[in-house]
Amino acid sequence: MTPAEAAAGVDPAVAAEPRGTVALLGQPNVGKSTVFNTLTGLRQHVGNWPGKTVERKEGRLALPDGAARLIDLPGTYSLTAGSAEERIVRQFLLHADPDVVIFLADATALERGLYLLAEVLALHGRVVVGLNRMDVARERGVDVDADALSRALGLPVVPMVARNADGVDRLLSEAEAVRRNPARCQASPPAMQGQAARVLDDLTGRLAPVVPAPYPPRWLAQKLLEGDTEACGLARDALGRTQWPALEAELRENEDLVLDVLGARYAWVERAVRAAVHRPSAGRVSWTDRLDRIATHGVWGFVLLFAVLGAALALTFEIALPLQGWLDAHMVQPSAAATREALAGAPPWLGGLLADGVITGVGTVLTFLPVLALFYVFMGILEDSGYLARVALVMDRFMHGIGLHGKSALPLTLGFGCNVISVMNARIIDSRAGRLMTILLAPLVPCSARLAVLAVLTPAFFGAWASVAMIGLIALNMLVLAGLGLLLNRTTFRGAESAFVMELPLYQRPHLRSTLFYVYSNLKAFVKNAGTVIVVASIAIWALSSFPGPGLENSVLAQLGHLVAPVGDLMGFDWRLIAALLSSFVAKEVAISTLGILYGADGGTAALTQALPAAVGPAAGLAFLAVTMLFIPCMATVAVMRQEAGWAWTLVSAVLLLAVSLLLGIGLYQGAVLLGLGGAP
Amino acid sequence: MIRRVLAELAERGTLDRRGLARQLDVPPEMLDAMIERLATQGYVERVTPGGIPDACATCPVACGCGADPCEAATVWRLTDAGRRAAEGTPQRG
Repeated sequence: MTPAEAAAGVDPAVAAEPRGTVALLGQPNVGKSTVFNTLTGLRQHVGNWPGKTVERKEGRLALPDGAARLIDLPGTYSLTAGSAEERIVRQFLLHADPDVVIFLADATALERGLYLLAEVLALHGRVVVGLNRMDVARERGVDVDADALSRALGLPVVPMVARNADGVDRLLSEAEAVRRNPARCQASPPAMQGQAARVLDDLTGRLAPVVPAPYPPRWLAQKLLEGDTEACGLARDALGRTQWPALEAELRENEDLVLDVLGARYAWVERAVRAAVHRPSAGRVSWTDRLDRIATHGVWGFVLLFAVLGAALALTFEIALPLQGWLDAHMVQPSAAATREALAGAPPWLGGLLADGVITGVGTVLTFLPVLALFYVFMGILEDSGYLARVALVMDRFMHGIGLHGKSALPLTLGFGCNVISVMNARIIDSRAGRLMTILLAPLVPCSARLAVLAVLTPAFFGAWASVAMIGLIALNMLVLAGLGLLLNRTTFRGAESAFVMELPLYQRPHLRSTLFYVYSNLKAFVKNAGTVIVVASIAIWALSSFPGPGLENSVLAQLGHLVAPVGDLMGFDWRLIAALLSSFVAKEVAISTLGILYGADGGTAALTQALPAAVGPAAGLAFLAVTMLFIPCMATVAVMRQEAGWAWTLVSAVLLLAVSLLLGIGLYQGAVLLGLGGAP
Repeated sequence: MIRRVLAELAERGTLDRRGLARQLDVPPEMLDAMIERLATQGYVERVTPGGIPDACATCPVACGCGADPCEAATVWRLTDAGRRAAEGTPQRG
């Protein structure tokens, strides 16, 4: 005998002869098995539903009025004939017509549970609701009022904690009470309005004379609007070849009325939830909501983004540049000098290789570290606090706003980290045209490597105005992206719009540990990946700039640079700037070490920030930075572009970016000179 | 209500879940349930970004940037059927 039987004082002999049926119904993982085991103990039989592989559990339930069969119906989310479980549940409710349905709902996810209940009530009215996991709901600060829910639903509602068997006895007595007096259930199922109600009434009227028992015509009409395949088969058989085609055509015409069927159910669910559930908005939830009103606002979100970005950059310059100077003066330059001195007797090329090639390369990596470390500290804080996800949303909305539809916006937003990720993620776009457009636009998103190059070089050209210039250059990139996106979208790659709902994490106080880990792992990746490339490229650039010699002007690099000098002249670039630009193809950061070698900055980037303004005027500096931001991407990105789009489109992209960056560079330089910004240093 | 979810999406493009729930004056949990139902009917679909490089698996911002299919970065996308429904155009076929 089960504990429930003992509690109810049931005679075991009576319990052995069940009369009537009680069904246990609910969504998956709602605690049905726990309740079933508590109610039936060992008196259960496990088999399969006829013709299905779905498990069927039946047991004996002791009610004060005598025993009943308890059927554990498969867990399901709705009653549309989409899965075997859904078909089993509704066939059972229709054909077996149980005395009572015990409906288990999860108090922590009441909205989903009540949706299923709305569907159940269309088929069966005698329902007792067991509200399980009340303890978990309380722990999460959600207050569910069972009495208020009972009044709102018109059904008995029993609060429960199934794993402790709390509420199980009351559930049984309510089931028994409903079995004796079905009028205890006074639920009114969801009602439709407007055109949906008219169509539903019309369908019901036409189906009523022909639909066989036990199918309720109104339920069948609803299922037809939902596009339920089983219901369509039933109606086709009932109406015959003469009437079905016309009805089918009408259903197709009214295909979106399914939204009104679903809408009516959710309106019904919402009324019940509003009456019974209280979620006090406090702590992080309430803070998140308040902050998001600004952070995700169409206008203020952008203002905040630029303010945060500006503050982070200004602080980076303020703190990192002196540190960078110190590293350069106390470590890189003395090392270079000491190396030259030590190798005074050795062949000159050896001293050059080590001092100008290797030490410049290592020095670039080393003096890059303070800037990158601070950059990553701010990014880490923004990420850990939850703000970075809002940046993705604001940028995504911006791209949608300029006609770069959502499908492209998500992969492009990822490009702020690395363009390779953008190109790879273009795969989420279904159409080839959309994919190609995204791949073509991806290199225009300023990636973290380009931002780091900007962070080092902008102060050299613009001094105190570095933050403003940097934001201006990033904005320029976004404008070019927007312009080109609009152009491609309107002409070559016409595509349908798309839209997203994103999940944003709650704001939280950044943790020191996770921020430091973020900084560490990113710096490690930089030293390991970019660092190696920079040192090797520095040596190569040194070699190209030293041989055959004598002097820089007689090097292979100078000869190559002079070949393209006419283009450089239009932007105020001498051949060294052009060489730096071309070397950025290896990795964007290489541009800095190349400039270091060619402008004889003896290694460090801090020395470079002094040497550059002396050799390059502000107009040419502005043009150089703009072209660097828009130029052909790094090798890694090009390789992924070839892999994703093929050689032809990679070539198109290279030509397009070359044209855009050079035209803009020429325009900016000439414009700046006209405005008197100064073409010469 | 459920039509408003589609209409907001079609009109405003990208939305955050909590912001949309605030806009519709429903609890976020209610919105989740509606979006999941819209997904089963084919009006929205869950985006699972493909081609995520191995680097993303260990990236600490993966959940924030939307690239990682982790729970915090659930992204739902309006389908063509969803857009047609939002615009009130009858579907074909």
